[in-house]
Amino acid sequence: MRVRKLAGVGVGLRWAFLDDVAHGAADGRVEFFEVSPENYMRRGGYYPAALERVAERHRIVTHGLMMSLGSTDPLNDSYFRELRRWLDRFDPPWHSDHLCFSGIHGALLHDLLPVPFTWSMARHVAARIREARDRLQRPIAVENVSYYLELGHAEMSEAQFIAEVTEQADCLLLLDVNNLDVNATNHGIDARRWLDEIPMNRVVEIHVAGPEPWDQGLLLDTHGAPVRPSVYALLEEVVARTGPVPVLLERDNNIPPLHDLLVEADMVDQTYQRALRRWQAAHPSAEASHVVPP
Amino acid sequence: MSSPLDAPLRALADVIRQADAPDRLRRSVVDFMAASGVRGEDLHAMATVPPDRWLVYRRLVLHRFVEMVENGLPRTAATLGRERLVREVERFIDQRASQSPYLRDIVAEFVAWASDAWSAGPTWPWLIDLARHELLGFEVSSLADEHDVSGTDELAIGKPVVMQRSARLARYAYAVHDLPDDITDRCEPVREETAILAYRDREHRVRFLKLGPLAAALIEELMAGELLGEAIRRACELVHVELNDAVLGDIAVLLADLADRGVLRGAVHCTDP
Repeated sequence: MRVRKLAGVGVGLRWAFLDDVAHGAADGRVEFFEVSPENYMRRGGYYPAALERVAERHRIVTHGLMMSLGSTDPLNDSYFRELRRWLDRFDPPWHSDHLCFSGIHGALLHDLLPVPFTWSMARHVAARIREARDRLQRPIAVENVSYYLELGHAEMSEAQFIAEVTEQADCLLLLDVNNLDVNATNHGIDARRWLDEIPMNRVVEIHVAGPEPWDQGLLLDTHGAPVRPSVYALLEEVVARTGPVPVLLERDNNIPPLHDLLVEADMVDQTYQRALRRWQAAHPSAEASHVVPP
Repeated sequence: MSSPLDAPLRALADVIRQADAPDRLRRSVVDFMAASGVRGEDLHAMATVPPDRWLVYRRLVLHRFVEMVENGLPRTAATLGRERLVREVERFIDQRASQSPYLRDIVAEFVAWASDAWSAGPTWPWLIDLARHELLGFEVSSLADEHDVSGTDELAIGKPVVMQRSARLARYAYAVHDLPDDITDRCEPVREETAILAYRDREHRVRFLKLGPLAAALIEELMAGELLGEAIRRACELVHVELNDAVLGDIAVLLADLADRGVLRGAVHCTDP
């Protein structure tokens, strides 16, 4: 399955500023907007109508929430039928979802719950990713999630688990550097070493966001704060290795006015461009169409 | 019975769902996990995680569900108060949780659960009507729409009609639709049999229309797919109204008004034989 190219910095489309974007407030400011299909699927009224107007102005990338790839329940037939119909309408270059489970035994909990880092779970998740790709007839990217505990006896590290799953499924990787930063902080993981262990050649998209402090000294992946300096540093490290892949700024809580979010997207882009120059210096013959001269 | 693959997943779901999970975890994490079917190395590893860390996920899920219910049912939530609302949502997650991949469906699932759970001696006898009314507005705002109006015929006695697909009719025992917009106003609805038609206007805003007995009976018949003439006859019969010219005139005015509002789209299109 051929993967179409996309690069530059985008923003997660949220209802707080959907109307502004539909009326052109972000024209020329971002390369794309990312949406969660579940918020628009099987739905009529204002929001799908506004999304149609956004799609006339901007490229749309899709990021799902409820594939529940780690669950032992069968994939949801009606959900996948509707998702395929919806994706065919907006034709994103790939569709992504999370390396997690969201429910079990028919009960859905609407959260990104961790799965055990085991060989059997890697085989299980990989098989479901292949099935999802077949059902959707579209490349699938999976995202590393934030987790607050290791579920069960780990037979490998998270990075090894990601490598195993993506290799067995032959799928793409959405690398969330904020989740890596949150996990590194909460669990004492060496983020640079983690990056050495994942299949960087499969990365087609990067997410950045800001967490918030919570009880027990935990950082919580709320997407409720500006991007942290440590995430900017990881972003530069990653893009210097991957080259021009799209980077998404996510914000789901404490959402600022669109203007402020676009200013933050500009800051993400500055880091992105700096990293691309490093990447280009290391790959002088590579395509540099997304690199801005210093 | 859990398989080795899903036992840890089931245990985490039990932490999130089961009403007594916080107390049981604080007594013994290992006993809790064993009761959820976790064995061997998984049990050993999971027993080392402190109770409060397990409960992070419970709090996150509960927060998301409560937020969704507050968003969809603001006056119902305000009536219950935060503490009682959280308890009710905890019970809902324990007894039913969500069956839908769409987060917004939690609101309808919660109301369906509450219709049973609150039936025995609720503090406020009108609360379920209020929840159903708030759900009506929430659902009509987002129901998948709209019929292609080019595919309809002129209204005719011998044909069923085409209604806006997102229009819904609800009946309540209390006039909950009359409560003020200010959800901090604690006035209570009067007991009064009420029929409300909810629909979306052309700007996607939800509109509510209070119906008289004949109009409600007629619209219910039409929504059920009855032929227009038969729907009129049955509606009159149901509300014990004699079908005469004056009544027919009132019905013509009603149908014209519904068409003007975009609720009534025409008659079902019939192709020539």
